[in-house]
Amino acid sequence: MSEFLLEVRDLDVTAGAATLVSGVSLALAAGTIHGIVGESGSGKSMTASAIAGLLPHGVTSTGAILLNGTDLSALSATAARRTRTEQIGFVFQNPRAALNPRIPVGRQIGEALRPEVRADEAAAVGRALQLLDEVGVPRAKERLAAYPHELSGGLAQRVVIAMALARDPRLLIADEPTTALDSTIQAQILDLIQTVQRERDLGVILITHDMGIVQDRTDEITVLADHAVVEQGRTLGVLERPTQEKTRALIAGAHLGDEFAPAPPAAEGTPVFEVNGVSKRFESRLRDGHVRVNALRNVSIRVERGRSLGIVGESGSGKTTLARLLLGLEQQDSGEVLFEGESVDSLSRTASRHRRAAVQYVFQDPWSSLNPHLSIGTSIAEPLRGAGWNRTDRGRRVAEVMHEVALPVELIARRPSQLSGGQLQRAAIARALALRPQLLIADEPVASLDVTVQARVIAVLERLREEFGLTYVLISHDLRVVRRLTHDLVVLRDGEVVERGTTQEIFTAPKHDYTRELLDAIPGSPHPLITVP
Amino acid sequence: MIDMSSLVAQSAPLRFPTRRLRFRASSVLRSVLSAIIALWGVLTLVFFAILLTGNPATLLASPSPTKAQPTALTAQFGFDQSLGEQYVRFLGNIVTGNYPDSFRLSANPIDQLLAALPYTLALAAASLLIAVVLGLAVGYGAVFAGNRALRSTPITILAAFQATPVFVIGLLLILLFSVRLGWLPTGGARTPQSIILPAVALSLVMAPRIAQVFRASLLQLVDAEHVRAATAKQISLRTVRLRHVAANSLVPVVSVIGLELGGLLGGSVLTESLFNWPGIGAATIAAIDSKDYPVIIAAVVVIAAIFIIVNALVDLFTVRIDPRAELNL
Amino acid sequence: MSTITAAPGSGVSIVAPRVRATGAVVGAVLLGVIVVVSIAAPVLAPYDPEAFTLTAILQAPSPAHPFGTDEIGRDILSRVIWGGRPVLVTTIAATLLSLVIGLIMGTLASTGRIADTIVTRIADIQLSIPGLVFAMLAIALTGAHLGNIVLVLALSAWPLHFRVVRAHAAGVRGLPFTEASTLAGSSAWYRITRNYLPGVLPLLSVTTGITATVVALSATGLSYLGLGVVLPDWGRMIAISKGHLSDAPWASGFPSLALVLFLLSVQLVAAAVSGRARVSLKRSNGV
Repeated sequence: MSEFLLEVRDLDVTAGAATLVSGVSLALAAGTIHGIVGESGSGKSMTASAIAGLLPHGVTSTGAILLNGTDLSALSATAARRTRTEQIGFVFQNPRAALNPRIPVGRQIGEALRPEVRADEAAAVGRALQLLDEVGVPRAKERLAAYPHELSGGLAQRVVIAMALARDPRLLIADEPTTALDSTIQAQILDLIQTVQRERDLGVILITHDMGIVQDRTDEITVLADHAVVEQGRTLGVLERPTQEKTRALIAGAHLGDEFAPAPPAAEGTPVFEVNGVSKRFESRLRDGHVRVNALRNVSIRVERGRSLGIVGESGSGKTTLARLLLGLEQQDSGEVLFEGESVDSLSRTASRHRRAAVQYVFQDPWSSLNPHLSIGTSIAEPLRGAGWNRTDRGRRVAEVMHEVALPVELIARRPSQLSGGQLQRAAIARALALRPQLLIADEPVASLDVTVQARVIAVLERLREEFGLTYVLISHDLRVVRRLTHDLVVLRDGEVVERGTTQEIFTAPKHDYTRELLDAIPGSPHPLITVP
Repeated sequence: MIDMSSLVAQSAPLRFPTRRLRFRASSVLRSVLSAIIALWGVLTLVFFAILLTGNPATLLASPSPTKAQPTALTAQFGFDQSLGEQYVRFLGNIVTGNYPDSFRLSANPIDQLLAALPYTLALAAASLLIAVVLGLAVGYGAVFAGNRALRSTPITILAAFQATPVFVIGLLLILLFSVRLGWLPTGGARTPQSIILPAVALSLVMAPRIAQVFRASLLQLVDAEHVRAATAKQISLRTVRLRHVAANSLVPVVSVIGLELGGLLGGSVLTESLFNWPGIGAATIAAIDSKDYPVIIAAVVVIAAIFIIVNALVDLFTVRIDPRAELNL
Repeated sequence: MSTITAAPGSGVSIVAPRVRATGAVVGAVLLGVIVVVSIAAPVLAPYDPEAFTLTAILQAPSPAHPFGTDEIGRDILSRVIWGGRPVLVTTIAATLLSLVIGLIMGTLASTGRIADTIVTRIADIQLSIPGLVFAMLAIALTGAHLGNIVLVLALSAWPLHFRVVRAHAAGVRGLPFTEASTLAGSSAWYRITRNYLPGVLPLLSVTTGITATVVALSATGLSYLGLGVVLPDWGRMIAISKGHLSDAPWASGFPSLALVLFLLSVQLVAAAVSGRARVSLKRSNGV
């Protein structure tokens, strides 16, 4: 009998000629939480899938996987599957996708039970209700009849966890269980996983890209980069004394918001933007695909000259709608939106042109905000065209602005499909900067990027602020990003402003409960022994 | 913790609830409304088509009319009245089944067509059934069969039939099963076996598309997250394939059936012609040959009506099998 | 590792790329041969396709008549050579016309909301009548002239192009890069040509492929029913000779073969064109 619940030796995962995981080894003792951390593409999800026997088609793995001493790779496919389904519970990244949309949730939980328990339907239902109770699903009996799309993200993930625990496994593998969820829900789900681990004395493998989560929740970690293990050991040990560059980059990514933005001048003069008593109905697509209808209710904010504003809230809070109202991309139902004192609805043509030159917008998803058929050089030059610049001037300015965002000029002729996420987002920022605006409205500028790439893009935004005095209106759900880049902050919840003030005030002395909740949910608070690289 | 004893004490044994999807009144209403508008559109089209020939009364009267017939028709349909008047009269007459008499039988064409309708419906139903069974089986096999040859051969054979017009398929079937083997009759509707060859021929019009769409849908779902989640449970892989992959792949198939129905109805006309199957299609062709315009018009209206109604049913059915579609309606 | 199927992953066609490319070449060559033969019919056909000899009816294939003769002694080989013209011309003309009508209607619909509703309704109504049935009615009323047939088939086919184009316009309108263009102050011309057009062309090549196949089948169906033009025509030949299946199968056999080869070539070429279009669509969607 091995001392370890799980042992992985020299795991290789390949898809045809491509290597997805190379030579990964780790060991997990029962009762511990082991984190596997890395960027997207580092091989962490594939490692988890290989252990659980859930690799996609066309992907194969070699290497020993010992569960309680038995080598799964030496068993027949049927025997391996039987052992795995008995002993391993898997928690998936996107809870609604992991549930069959056609079948009520209760029956899916029933399906997850052991065959002996399933045999008697009444007993099975009883067991299912027990599990739902354990994972904290209120009104469980009603919920049995629900379809997955009728549940919120957090609730759906609890159901997925219930399904993972249904057969009383010894090992729980959670593959990025909170990435698709809102910040406050993330903390709750991670709390649940820790509780369940404690009460059942499970071994847990937690996959994540967030070093903050790793810091808070794991006992040991394995750091993956470029498909291989770069560092391993007890969590605090690795975080306090990282020996590898990649590890340091990941730590930096998680501690983005450990500093505040340098103090700006006091507010003076006409505010750049003023929103007074605005209401608007909107539809929001939540992070896991659900569509919800909500409304901005009597919202008022000011964007002062020279000061950057952060608009913070979770999905469905209305922050994107608010940002779009500023630029006239949407019309409010009531209330007024003023740009430099004038109503945005009734701007004259010259005033519109002036606004275009003064304020620009960066969309959240770079893949859909840049025309896929055009080279990024053409896309970046588009505002210049719109303002009537000639060809030579356009070429010069495009090269200039690409340099400002640290985008190599050789990439000018590439199409979006040929660039990485970080490069694309920088191209989108370059396009926004083409006419040298004073204010940049950025909607979740780094949300769709990898952790380490986020740091790079934020560095670009900081440098632009220092060199050109650029101010931002930053919309984000991630408080770490906002802390670094903004001076003033507005917290939105369900379409209403719940708190406003300077960033420093709000972070150090939050007044509203919701703000406190958001702040508490930030993974990985600053730690005395962890120096941020 | 839940009190287990209170659960056990309940009189009815616990069951996992299954939701019976009810039709929302609003979605039923919408489908009916769409159908009515479509039907109205078809009738309007026919109306203008008749008018555009220049001589509607003579058209609708028999080939060698008596003096009285065109006049009677003009009175009935109002051909000498204003456009609006004619239109209203026309719609009224068509909807109440008040057609000018058929030339050949000197009777209301509707009776003739109603006699032929069961044959067409039987043929359509039989061929649809064969097409669905064949298409689903071949599509399923194309993804889940054991070896590569078993996966690719049936669906490729079926694809070859897509390039073959239905009457050529019919001829081949007749040649093989009637002429050479003598198992089945060459045509007509005298015996119950007579429906087999026409139904098979007609089914091969729709079956390839069903197989292709089902296969594509299955392949897309095979890597879906909920399928992975199902594989992680203690259920047989066959259950995973059937309950989680195949069952969820049916929605596009239903859509395709709706889209291809037009082809099926057109194909049924050709099939009835080839096999001398006494359905509406055959009646229409006979009418075209003898320039029996009242029958042609009546037949077109009937066929269009069938098409529209079945399409509306398909729409409603899609809602039943896809809970999320409820949200969009 | 438990896999529920050994089939290749999602999105991969059962036909390997190499085989698909061979199919495209075969289809193109076949189609080319048929076109050339049809054009060169006056030169290639050994006999006048309408010349009949009542003493030589239903003769089996022989050196004098390689494809045999039909019920009134006409040479089948010559009739097969001539018989491709009506179908070819009808298919090409009707497909092109349907594209033109679809584009015109699409442009009309984009002029305003009311126009859009009206045009969409017209398209829906057109789609409510099965193509062949609509064609039968129209031709019965107006007569079987080439122009009528082409027009009627084009009318059944344009809604497909229209719907696809309209959906694309709606899709593009909602995408951030279109909004970014507005924010950049770009002219309407720039937006149409750079944002909208590049995505439309691959879509139209897919619908054209589908239309060509459907139109070809409908045209042959019409000629089979006797509603085609009065010329030697494969469909018509099959219809006339079907009664002699047992004693003279060549009479309907050879035209059937020619017809199947023609339809197959259209399908192969259409599949190749839409295959390439789909790849380009995937690429532009960042997949």
